[in-house]
Amino acid sequence: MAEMHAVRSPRRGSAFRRVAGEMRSRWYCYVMIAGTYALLITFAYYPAVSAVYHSFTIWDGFRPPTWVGFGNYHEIFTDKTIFRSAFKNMALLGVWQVVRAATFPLLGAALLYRIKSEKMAYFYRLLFVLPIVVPWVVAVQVWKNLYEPNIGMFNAILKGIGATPQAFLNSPKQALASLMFMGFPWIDGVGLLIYLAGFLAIPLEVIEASIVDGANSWTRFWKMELPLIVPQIRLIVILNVIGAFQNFGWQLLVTRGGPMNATTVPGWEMYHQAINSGRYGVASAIGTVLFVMIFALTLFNQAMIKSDVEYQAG
Amino acid sequence: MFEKKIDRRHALRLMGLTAAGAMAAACTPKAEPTAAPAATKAPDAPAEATKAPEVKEWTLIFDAAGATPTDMETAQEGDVIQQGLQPAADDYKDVKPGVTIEWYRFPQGSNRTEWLNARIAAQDCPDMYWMNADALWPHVNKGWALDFTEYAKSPNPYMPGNKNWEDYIDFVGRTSQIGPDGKVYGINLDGAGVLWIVNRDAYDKAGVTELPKTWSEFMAGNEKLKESGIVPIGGDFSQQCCFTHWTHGHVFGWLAWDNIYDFDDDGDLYVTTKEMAEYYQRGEFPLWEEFTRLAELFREQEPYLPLGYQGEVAYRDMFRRGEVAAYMEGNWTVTSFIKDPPPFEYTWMNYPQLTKAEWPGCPDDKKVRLQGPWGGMQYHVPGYLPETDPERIPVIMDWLMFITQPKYVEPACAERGTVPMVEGAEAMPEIAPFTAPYDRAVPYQSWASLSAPAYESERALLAEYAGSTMSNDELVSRGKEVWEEEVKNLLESNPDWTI
Repeated sequence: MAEMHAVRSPRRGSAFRRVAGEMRSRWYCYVMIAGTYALLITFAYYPAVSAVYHSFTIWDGFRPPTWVGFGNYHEIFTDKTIFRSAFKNMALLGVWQVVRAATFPLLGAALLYRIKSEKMAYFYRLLFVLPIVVPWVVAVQVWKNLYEPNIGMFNAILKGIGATPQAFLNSPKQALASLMFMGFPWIDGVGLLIYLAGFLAIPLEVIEASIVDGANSWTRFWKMELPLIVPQIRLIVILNVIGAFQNFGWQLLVTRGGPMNATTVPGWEMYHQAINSGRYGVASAIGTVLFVMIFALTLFNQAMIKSDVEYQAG
Repeated sequence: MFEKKIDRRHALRLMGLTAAGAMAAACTPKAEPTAAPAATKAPDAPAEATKAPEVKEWTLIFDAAGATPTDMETAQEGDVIQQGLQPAADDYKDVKPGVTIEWYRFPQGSNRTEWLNARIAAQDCPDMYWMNADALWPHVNKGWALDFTEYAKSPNPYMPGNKNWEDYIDFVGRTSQIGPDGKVYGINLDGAGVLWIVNRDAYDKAGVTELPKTWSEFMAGNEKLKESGIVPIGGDFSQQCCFTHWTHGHVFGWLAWDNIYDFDDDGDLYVTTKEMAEYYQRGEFPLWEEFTRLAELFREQEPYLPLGYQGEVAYRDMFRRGEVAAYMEGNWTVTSFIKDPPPFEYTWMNYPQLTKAEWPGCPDDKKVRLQGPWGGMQYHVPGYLPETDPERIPVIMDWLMFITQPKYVEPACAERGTVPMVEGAEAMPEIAPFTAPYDRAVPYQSWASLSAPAYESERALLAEYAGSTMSNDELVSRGKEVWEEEVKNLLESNPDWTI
């Protein structure tokens, strides 16, 4: 195919004519992917562009928008709830989510990778991955019930050992930490599989060579395996940075941003402004700020997390 | 057998053509029905309500909320089975054979405002939906609800006599549907009241032999209950119904006894969102001294609330388990308590009366009751129908007039223990405590709250105040910030409320 291009292009002249000719000859391919692009433009790009425009307006979603310039941005950067509480909480939850997602599944995968018995390795892998089938919403509700201050299990245990019961999610001081603790032991099945795939892709001869050179398990992990799974770490970090900025599922299902805004995040405030208050302009401004932040951090991640070691798989 | 092979390129071309055809078909506008409605304006002659087309088939999607019949396909053993308005739908088949009523099952656990916002924006709302009118007012000028006025002021052919439809409705129910612009935006067929449900055994065990009638008796009783090892008050400051705004509603009724109606310009015995916003702009509302006292009374109750009261607490479950001594509950729970009583003796109690000891402006020996239009049968119609399907409006109105008949309202209310608001319909005897005489009704669930988001901010402030040493000056200062912000937001979407 590449050779055909090389033959055709000089005869047709300009690059534009070459592309146009290519499109004409392969028109049915473009028709086949047109639907996908139409849907993508309609449901992904158009709303995003529309949100940027509406972020400069007062808009209730029903009547024509009114242009207010940077008024909405001024509001979100001066509002105590959104700017101070929500962005601070997002930063804390975001750092924790990234650390949690990058480390605990990694440790789990590293341990699984070292199990010599195939059967046992399969068994433990299954144990870690099986919780994926439990819907996330159900898991969240279970944790919510565990935390219930008066009839929940955690306080029953505390009372049982003579300790003082805690309010957990219902306390403005403990709510954020309680949210962070949810999901313990924090070994996400998908993350674990991604890391494990990375470990399994490391050429065996590399590992064997290191063993011959006298590297112990600890040294192998730090000096050999970890540098070789940097692409997986980068993927996990980027996905979780994006997730941490966008997510407000815990707030929606568990805390509603409370108590006393202790767990609110920009994503929740965006939802709240749009759906509860009908202030789509402000919500769009929050969304635009989040987009810029996520985009910048993704570029930053790409630039900072680099692997110096490349290897030929297989 | 004849066989023809096609190469990959031809196969792809064929698939491309098929895809293009499918896309073209999908994007082609839907063919207009032969009997396309010519008018884009809502038929404004209410008399047409009874002339719903009988030849054309209609299916009305009805979010009947509290009067929705139980879905027998999903009902489980032990579920309370209710008929709701199913008998009316069955009878209506004889009256209007072309009209079918389809029950809309509201997604459990969803937030009404969020749901309605999405449904109205997408124009796929049920033809009739339930919502408390006070939650609707901040959005009514965005076209969330249809103007009922001309129908409300026209005769209802299904009722005896020749009165206008709205004249068959109780005063509170009728006025509750009058929007900020004076138009009628719904029909309200039942109402509700609030009392305290009390674990009588726990009170006796703690030595509280007489049910408290005043605030001071109530607080003294709470201290004894706490000493006996039970949580005296079930309630929290979360979004779940209803400790905060019901306390707000009752207590403010006493604190602002003399002057609350000074802000009621439209005479509906309630200070509407619009009135509050206007009086705020004049600097006359809210009443900050009364607000401060309200916050202090919340703080007085704080030691008697369950652990974690600043978030959501399962205090209803705790009550049934005998771990909470009392909490406020609506009359709609009476039937479930009768069918499934808790393992102890329980009774209903009026909200303890505030006296001059709590606030100098309190009246002597007056009962305040949350007794309003917010039952399960308060129906509105999407405001976009005049543009999208005007012919549907008289069909809907005819059905709503039909279900106003006492023979349908009374049993539907009896099933849920709500108070009928229709002339000729009687409340079930078991809810007598909720219909006992009172001196002032709080027609909505709280006074002095601008909107749901504003109330969330206020509630968070009250929760923080109750559980801290926040000064009254700081309380007022932060309360003013909340009001400033919310009035600004409210005027943003209701510019005509600016004075």
